[in-house]
Amino acid sequence: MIIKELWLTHFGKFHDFHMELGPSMNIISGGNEAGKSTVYHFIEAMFFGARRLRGRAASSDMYSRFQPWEGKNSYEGTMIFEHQGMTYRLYRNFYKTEVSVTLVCLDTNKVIPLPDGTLENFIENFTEENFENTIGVAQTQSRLSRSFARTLQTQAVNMAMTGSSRLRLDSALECLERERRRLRRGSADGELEALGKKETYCRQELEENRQRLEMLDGELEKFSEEDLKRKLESSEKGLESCQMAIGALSEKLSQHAAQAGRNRAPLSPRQPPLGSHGSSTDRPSYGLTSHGHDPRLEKTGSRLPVWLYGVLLVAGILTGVILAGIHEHIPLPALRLFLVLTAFLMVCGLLGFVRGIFEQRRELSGRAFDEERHRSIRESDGEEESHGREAAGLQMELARMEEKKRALEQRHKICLQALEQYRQIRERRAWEQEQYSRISNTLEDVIEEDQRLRDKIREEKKEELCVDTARKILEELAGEIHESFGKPLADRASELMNRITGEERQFIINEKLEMMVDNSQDFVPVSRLSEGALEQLYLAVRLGAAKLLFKDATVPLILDDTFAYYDDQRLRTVLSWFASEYKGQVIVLTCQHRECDILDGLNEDYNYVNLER
Amino acid sequence: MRFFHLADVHLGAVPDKGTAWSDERARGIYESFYQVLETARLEQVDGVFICGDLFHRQPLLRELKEVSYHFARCAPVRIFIIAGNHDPVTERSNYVNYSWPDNVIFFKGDACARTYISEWNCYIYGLSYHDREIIRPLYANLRPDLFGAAAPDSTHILLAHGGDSRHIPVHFNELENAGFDYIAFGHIHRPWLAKSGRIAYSGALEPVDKEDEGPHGYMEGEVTAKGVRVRFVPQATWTYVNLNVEINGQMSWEEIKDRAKQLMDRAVKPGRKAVFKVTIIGTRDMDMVWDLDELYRLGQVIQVTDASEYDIDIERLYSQNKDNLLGRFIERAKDLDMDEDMKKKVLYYGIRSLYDTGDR
Repeated sequence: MIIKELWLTHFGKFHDFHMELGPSMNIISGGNEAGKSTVYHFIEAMFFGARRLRGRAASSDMYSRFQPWEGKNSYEGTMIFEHQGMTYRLYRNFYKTEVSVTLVCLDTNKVIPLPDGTLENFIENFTEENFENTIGVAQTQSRLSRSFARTLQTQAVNMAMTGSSRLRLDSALECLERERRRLRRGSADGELEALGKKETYCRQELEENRQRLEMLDGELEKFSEEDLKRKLESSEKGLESCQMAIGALSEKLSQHAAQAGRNRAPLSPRQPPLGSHGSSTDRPSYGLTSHGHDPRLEKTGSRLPVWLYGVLLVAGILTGVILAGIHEHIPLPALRLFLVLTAFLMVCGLLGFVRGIFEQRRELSGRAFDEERHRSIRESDGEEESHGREAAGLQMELARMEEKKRALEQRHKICLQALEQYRQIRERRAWEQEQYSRISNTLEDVIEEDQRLRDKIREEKKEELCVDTARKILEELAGEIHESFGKPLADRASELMNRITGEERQFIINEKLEMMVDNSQDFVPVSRLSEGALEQLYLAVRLGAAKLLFKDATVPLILDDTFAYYDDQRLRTVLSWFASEYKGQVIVLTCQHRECDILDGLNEDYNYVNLER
Repeated sequence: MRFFHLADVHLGAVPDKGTAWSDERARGIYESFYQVLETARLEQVDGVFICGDLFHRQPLLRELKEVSYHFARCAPVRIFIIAGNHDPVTERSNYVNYSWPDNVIFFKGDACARTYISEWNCYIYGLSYHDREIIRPLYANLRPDLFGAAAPDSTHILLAHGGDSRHIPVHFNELENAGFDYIAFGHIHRPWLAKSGRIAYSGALEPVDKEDEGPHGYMEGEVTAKGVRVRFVPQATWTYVNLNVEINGQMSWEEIKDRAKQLMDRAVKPGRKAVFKVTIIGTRDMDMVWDLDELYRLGQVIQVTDASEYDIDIERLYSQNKDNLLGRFIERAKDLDMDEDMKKKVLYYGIRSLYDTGDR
């Protein structure tokens, strides 16, 4: 395709502006604000329409930017181009309410229908996207080396991996990864686990509750409430009658005692009173020990028997007599000693003997005294015996009643305890029953919640699947694109660089999506290249892409102020390559004269258009 | 004779569990129920039929006591109860041994029984669920004359619960002609009245979960010489409201939220309370980033659905990007072997990720 003529009827600052272009090199010159970019965008708009954007960038879209300064109602242009031997005239009206496009083949005067308003069917892959990536080199690139290197790198890689310099694979994948993480964050897996534990716990509790209920039921069976109540009643009745009987007997006994008290003969005050009122369980006390001896007497018993003292006395007397007979034959001191001894013996014996005699006499009198007492007691005993027997009989009866009462009380107590126990078990059972209801309700809640969570997780997983699928597809496709386009692109770029600069360089795009250049030892990032080399690489990549996309079709290359930062040497290299090797049309928009000068110097033909006429 | 027919009270249920208003809802169910009983007492209605699922789960003893107290209070109104699939009379249920006040008649058996109220010349029939599910059609072939002779000109009212395949399947046409003057149904939470007026679902007294949209309340009925006539009394305090918020690509997120809030405020009638299920429909800009969780904070919102579509022409996008990753992605995504809505999601995820990060 070769653009032959341009009519900027109403476009930006241009009003009925006409331009003719040559088949190879064209230099369109104009200072700043002369409208170079307008011409560039006019060509783009003619090919693809003036894009009206909504939302983002609405104010800076192409439509708004190039609305004619004069006469806003008219916004149109015409282009005449040659393609595959035929000449065509393309007309577009950009005005929003009258948007239209017409393509007429001037050779046949036939209107070529453009159903979607684009030239895509005309030339393969001739889309706006592709134009911008390849042959339309707009004036937007930054020329600072580092960011330019990065921009180039990004664009080249984007091209290689996505087929478009604008689409970024790495950030797209990152974006999807973020989505997946966001979905994961709200995941309910942890909750499900906790719920599972709670369910197990509930079931366990329920089982334990069931066992306890079973056990309690078993215990309850052992009791019969009616039975117990009956027993309780009977023992109560029994106790009542017992108590009454005891009362009656006690009454009788006390009457007896009163009677006995009145009948008994009064005894000497030394006598302990006969005790038979009061406790009927005490045996009447006679103040005697079991042996019949008065215990008082026992205490004052002499230490030695009486006869011993008698012996001592006789021994003393004898010793005296003997001494009287033999007193001359014994020395005086010894005689005195024997006398003393004799006297001692006699005195001791006499004293002891006398005392013993006294004691014996006292004992005898005591015994006689006791015997007298016995006699008197036995006398009253005789009277009381019959009383006593009666009393004893009553006592025994009383004792029996008391025994019976005790037994009944015991039974009553046991009954009460049993009844209490029964009631406790029954209460316990009612409580367990309530627990059962409570736990089984909780379990149901847990199961319901579990189901709800599972559903929620299922939905989340579906969502995650979508994200993962999108990601997988992107990766696969990127791989394919890299294979089919990226690699050849890198090769083409390398080839072109070689041809333009004469230097052999190999470019690749590695798996980390970085563009690398071979520096004869290793592959290093392209940012290591000099600024100039980067510029050339930039062009080479675009030209390479153009070749791959448009294949054999020749398409015009439009460069808007691309060489501003080139040094003279580089510029010469590039221009001479274009002039000698590039087969298609080249349209260079520039604000300098260098291009013209160099081309003149190379003796190359070119078409010159001055915008500032 | 005048009666109230209600069912599916679900005392003890905690609707919208986990939200700030769930406790209020749970208490509200009790209050609504007691309100009906009070109304029955004040209006001196003759009978109240509670057709199953009075309780949401197995009732605790203390719950039975609380309800009993209220039943006793509204004497001499007679209360008739059957147990439903949510509160069946199981072996261990507290229903088994509970003794109700004198004005309450509980049809405890799993076979249909009847009771005669001479003051009304009316026979009331009913059976209780003893299991959570009953697949046998227990109401089929049920006729008043199967229970013996009946007094002349007497009315026959059947209290029933169920009507779907797992809860006593029913042939409504057959039942219409079984000889009952009125069949009071419970189980379906939406009120429904047959054309003949002879069979009715009173619906749940208050909506129990978010699927229970529309009006809720009970049936008020009268036995006249011409038969039984009922009308629906919408009493529920709470309603679930479906709210559609229409958006377009021009709206910002704040605007969308305000619109939603406006719609919510307008939808609530004074004295009533609403819980909203919000759906966003319309087109949204590719740039729009929103956090749907913020909608939950605008009011009592139980559910938010995003049914919006992206404001992009996929076909055009495809044709403009045929050779690059975006175009090829669209092509590949369209051919996926997935459900339509999942495919759409995949498409949007991919397009958005490329769009968000591209230099457009």
